Amino acid sequence: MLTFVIRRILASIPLLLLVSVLMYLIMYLAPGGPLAMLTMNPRIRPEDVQRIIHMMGLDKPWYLQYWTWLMAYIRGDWGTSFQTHREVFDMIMNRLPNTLQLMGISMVFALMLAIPIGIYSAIRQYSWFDHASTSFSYFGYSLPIFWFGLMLQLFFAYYLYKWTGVHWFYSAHMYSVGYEHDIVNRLQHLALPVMTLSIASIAGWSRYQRASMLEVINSDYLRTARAKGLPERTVILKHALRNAMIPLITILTLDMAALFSGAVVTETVFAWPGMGRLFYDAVVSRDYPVVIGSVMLFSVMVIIFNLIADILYAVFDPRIRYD
Amino acid sequence: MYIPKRLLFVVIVVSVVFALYIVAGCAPRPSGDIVIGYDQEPAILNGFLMGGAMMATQDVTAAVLEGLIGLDNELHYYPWLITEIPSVENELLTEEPFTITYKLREGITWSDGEPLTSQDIKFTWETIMNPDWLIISRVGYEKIESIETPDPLTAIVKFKEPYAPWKDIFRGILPKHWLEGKDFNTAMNQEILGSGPFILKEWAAGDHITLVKNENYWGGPNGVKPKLDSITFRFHPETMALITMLKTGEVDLIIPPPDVALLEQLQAIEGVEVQVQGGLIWEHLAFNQKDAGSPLRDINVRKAICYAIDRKTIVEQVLKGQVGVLQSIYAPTQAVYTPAWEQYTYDPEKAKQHLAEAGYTAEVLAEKPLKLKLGTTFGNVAREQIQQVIQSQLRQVGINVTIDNYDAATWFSEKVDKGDYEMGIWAWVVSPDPDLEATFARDRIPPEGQNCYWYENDKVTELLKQANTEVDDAKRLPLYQEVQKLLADDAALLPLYQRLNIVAFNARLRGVKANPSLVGTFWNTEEWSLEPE
Repeated sequence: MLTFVIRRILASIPLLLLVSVLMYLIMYLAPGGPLAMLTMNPRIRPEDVQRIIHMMGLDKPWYLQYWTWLMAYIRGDWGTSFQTHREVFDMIMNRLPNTLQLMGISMVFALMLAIPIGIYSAIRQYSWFDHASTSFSYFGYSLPIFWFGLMLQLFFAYYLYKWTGVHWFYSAHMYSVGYEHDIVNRLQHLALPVMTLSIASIAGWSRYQRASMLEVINSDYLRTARAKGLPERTVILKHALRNAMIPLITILTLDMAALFSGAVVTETVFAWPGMGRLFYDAVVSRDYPVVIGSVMLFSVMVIIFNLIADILYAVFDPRIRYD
Repeated sequence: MYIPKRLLFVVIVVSVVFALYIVAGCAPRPSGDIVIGYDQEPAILNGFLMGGAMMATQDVTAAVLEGLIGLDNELHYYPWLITEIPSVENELLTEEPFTITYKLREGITWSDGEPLTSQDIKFTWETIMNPDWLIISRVGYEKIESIETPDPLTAIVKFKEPYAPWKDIFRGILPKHWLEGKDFNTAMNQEILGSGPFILKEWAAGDHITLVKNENYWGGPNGVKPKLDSITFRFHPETMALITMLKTGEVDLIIPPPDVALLEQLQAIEGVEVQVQGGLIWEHLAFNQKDAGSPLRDINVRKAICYAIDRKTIVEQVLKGQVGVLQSIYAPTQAVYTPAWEQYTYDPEKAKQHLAEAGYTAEVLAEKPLKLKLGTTFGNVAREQIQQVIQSQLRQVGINVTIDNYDAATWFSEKVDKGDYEMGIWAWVVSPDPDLEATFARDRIPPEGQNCYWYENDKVTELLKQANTEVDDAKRLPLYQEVQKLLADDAALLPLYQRLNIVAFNARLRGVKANPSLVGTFWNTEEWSLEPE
């Protein structure tokens, strides 16, 4: 197992190098640059633009810029943003907790609903509940997140306020100014983005849970468990669920990388200052150091969680061994 | 399924407690604090640096940093930190050599109590010219030869040559005592110190910036103390969500994009006041005259297009009559404005005559139609609708228009700036000063400037250069009137309309006078107040 882990980690180094080279190349080939919009500003002279391009080293060939970046990155220096002139590492660390909070809570919330729905649908296959949850899944999966977020804002933040005169939920941000440390105020802000983010996860995960549960539910060892005279609850929750969880755990672990990358659309609709928006804004303003810093973080996370998924697979299923 | 009764009980109790807490904790915001719903977070607070050349930086710092000369909402210059605007009459301006003397008002202090002196003016210029800093624009400052400071209230600025747009420089004065010896590339990006009516209190990255009242404010040109206690800018990139927040009272003021449909929606909201006016950003149809073989190099083809487009219909249909047709390259509120493009009223017959003169008679066009591409930025609804109207109107006179759009970065940096387009629609932001040398002089064709029309007219170039060194307004304005006439006669481009400037706010908020120039909405915040509910 240990050699497997070490081998995988070593193999990921060339992969990360490839990702970073490709990213640099894509940014270089993309139209415009960090100063593209400034060339159309009559208050800014071409001499000004040339002077700044030279000061930022953007007049060097892309492979030299890449080499400079790589050498600094290896030493732990993530570079400085073109737009904010701050350390990229600080900017990312500033946003990461917000994204972890939003994505983490959404994932836990989605799991708490998806697993029971999946189990119940499987043990009562073709019941009205099963049909209802199946329709809900298709609905939830195909819902445009952008639209759904705006509708939640309209009903829960606007109409509910208009009818009752009380702010039950807020339509945006992490907290009201002056209420940073008020947990209830934070929950009132969290509710709508968490609902928006969870709906698709609940839809997807409950389908996985249902499918894997159905696979084990008619297996021989369950019949044995029932024949032993175990109560139905023990049979389902102890014997069936343990085996039926394995596929979901794999998928969940792979989805975990999203904890770090955030969700651009939801973060935009609810003005959540997370990683998704940081990355999106950096791409739009061609802030190369921030773009590449974020991409490298996302790539490392994807690799780590893939590795964890493989390890967990072996832990939960004793038949699988890595040598 | 089995749900434990105890669990259910706990859930119900917790929900009830939460609900009570929310209802009880719902105190109204104090009436001296307002919240602005703003669609873009500034990258930095330093508007002089790369990264600070954005409206967000200007708006957030407008109540913090002050300049020597201000520009009000009717586009009149007023003395801000100085006692009077220099002129030949008050002997503060001499033409040979070109020298301007700024007399600061007495008793002005920075928000930390230090006096604001002529040393700060000199320091501002030195900082902008320092080669170590990533200064985004040195326009105007590079013309300064030296600054003398004979006493704390007097700064004598000597220029290398006459520089007519001098009123546009020194829009923000930097505090020498606070910045000296610091790295200007980082010192004023997350914090700022100014002399204005408000002080930066905090910046929660990605969320909000809060300004609080400057208790020591010197009073501004009108001698008033700020009435509001605080102004918070909350950042939200989504216009529809901002409108919802304005409705629920979570924010007090928003500046929506110039969209006529939004305007009608905002005007219908109860308790919300909307200010709307034509701004200093104007949209136009550009003709690229770069390639020798392009039909657009022929003045008759350009004139034919100008006559064939019914701009009145465009404005009435696409913009619901909220703005009029723009007849020049300046805003009608600017003193320099002459309606030089009025000659191009919709006249398809005249258009056909001009086409025939260019060799495109009806017979020729029937055999081989004149094909032109028309480009703009993707996703800009108003521009895309105008494109379609122009396409159908030009078809009436036998010109076949193909639409060729790109994302903003590609359109401006690869197409417009490289001259790789035929006709285009985009907007220019005009500064209050009429200087347009960089846009129309023949030696300012990219990469030397923004003459993206490849428009080459020696007379226009000469007039623009002459106007830039003519410091007497009475002699200067006629030069620009001549420029407008020549540009219109040449059909160098076709102005379409002024973009709307919309501000929607809580009707209890008093004192808002939206400024259509780049000075923005927050130029007079010391006069704002919020009526109690």
